[in-house]
Amino acid sequence: MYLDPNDPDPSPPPRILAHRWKYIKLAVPLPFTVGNLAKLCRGVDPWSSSLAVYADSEGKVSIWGFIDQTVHFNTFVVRESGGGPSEPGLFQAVSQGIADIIVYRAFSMMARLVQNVLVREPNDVLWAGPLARRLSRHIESFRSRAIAKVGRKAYRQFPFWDISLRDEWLDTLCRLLINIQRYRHGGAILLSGQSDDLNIKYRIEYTRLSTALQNLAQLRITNRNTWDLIHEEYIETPRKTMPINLHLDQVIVEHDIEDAQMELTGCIRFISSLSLVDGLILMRPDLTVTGFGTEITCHNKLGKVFLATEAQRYKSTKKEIDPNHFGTRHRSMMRFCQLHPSSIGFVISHDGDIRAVTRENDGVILWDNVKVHRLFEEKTLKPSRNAKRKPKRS
Amino acid sequence: MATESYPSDLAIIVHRKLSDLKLSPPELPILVKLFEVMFHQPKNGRRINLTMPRRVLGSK
Repeated sequence: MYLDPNDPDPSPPPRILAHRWKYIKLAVPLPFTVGNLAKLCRGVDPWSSSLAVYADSEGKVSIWGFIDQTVHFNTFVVRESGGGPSEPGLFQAVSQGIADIIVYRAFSMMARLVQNVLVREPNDVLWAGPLARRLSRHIESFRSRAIAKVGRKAYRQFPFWDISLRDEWLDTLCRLLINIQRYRHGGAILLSGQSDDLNIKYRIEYTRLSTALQNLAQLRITNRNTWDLIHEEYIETPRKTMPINLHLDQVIVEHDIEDAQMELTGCIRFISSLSLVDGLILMRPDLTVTGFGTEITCHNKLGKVFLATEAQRYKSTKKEIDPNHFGTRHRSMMRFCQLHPSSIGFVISHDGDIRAVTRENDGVILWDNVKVHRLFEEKTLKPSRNAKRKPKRS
Repeated sequence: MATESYPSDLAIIVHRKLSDLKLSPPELPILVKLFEVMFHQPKNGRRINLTMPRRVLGSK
């Protein structure tokens, strides 16, 4: 973190959260060298802390201390929590791997250098463009099931549930991809309603992710409506008392939400770990897992393949590529999606790159650098399209 | 595919974006040095990381 040791916290918030960061100064600052960095980085886990770095008036860069409580920023960014204090400093630079640096400012990504490729913005492909439109059909059926459970009246009480449930569904997909990415083993998920051209080594019928997501959606809607009733009818009125059962209802549903969130996390971990078996994870579009260790058996010749780095402007920015530049995992997914246009493939490479594969009218599209982390628009720090809830700023 | 980029290109982008946000970025050579040090890969293959190896990327 690039942070001035003489003024590390220039504008603290009025209310300091208990888990907000603090700095710990080194008694003697260290020069920012490869050697010092190599030693210190082993004791500075990004899920726990960061190094505080600054340049003096002569331009000499030094490591002057540590920042703690960084776990909360990370859990927010990987969509495992709904909020967290922002990180301090002018910017944060994280070395994610060999020759892979990503630079953040608060909750926005400024740029990333991966080997020799500079990425200015992640590809917002799950929220915009043709792939997002395909996913929206599956999200719509998830939404319909939620409405059937809670009733249309309860669902329509607030206008934001369409977006909120979409983001809940996409958060789950992103968390699956992030968890597979963390294993650094490589893996693939195929969202497809059929099993032609697939050799499913291990067949299962795991519906729990789908039902947990459904349950969570139902609980969130119930909770919000109960909360609203309490505020509208009692707290924000001259009434001095309210029915105790109403309070109990809300407390119980809040606990149920916590349980449902934990169940969802467990499901995501279970499915992600299946990626460690060679072969792809096969899921129906409702997120039911129907098999893993799955091999793609089609050997059709690939037609035109394009690399798309921008979801919205993909038609004008896509570039035709030679599929042989990619490994067998990518190529077999391309072949399958070419034959089965309604399918959507996700491929996570060993080095962590996440790509999606679909077939569009002009050929197979390989969506590069899929945005899975919860990030914000940089210029204004307003939530980007995929940001569900505003994080607690402190 | 993308053209070749180096830590100095990352520094230029970060410098420009911070300036666009009307913040006061460090001098460009300082940013270049920061990213070059982070990008450096020692001969023994040990990964240099401003924070930590990725084995920890398990969650909370």
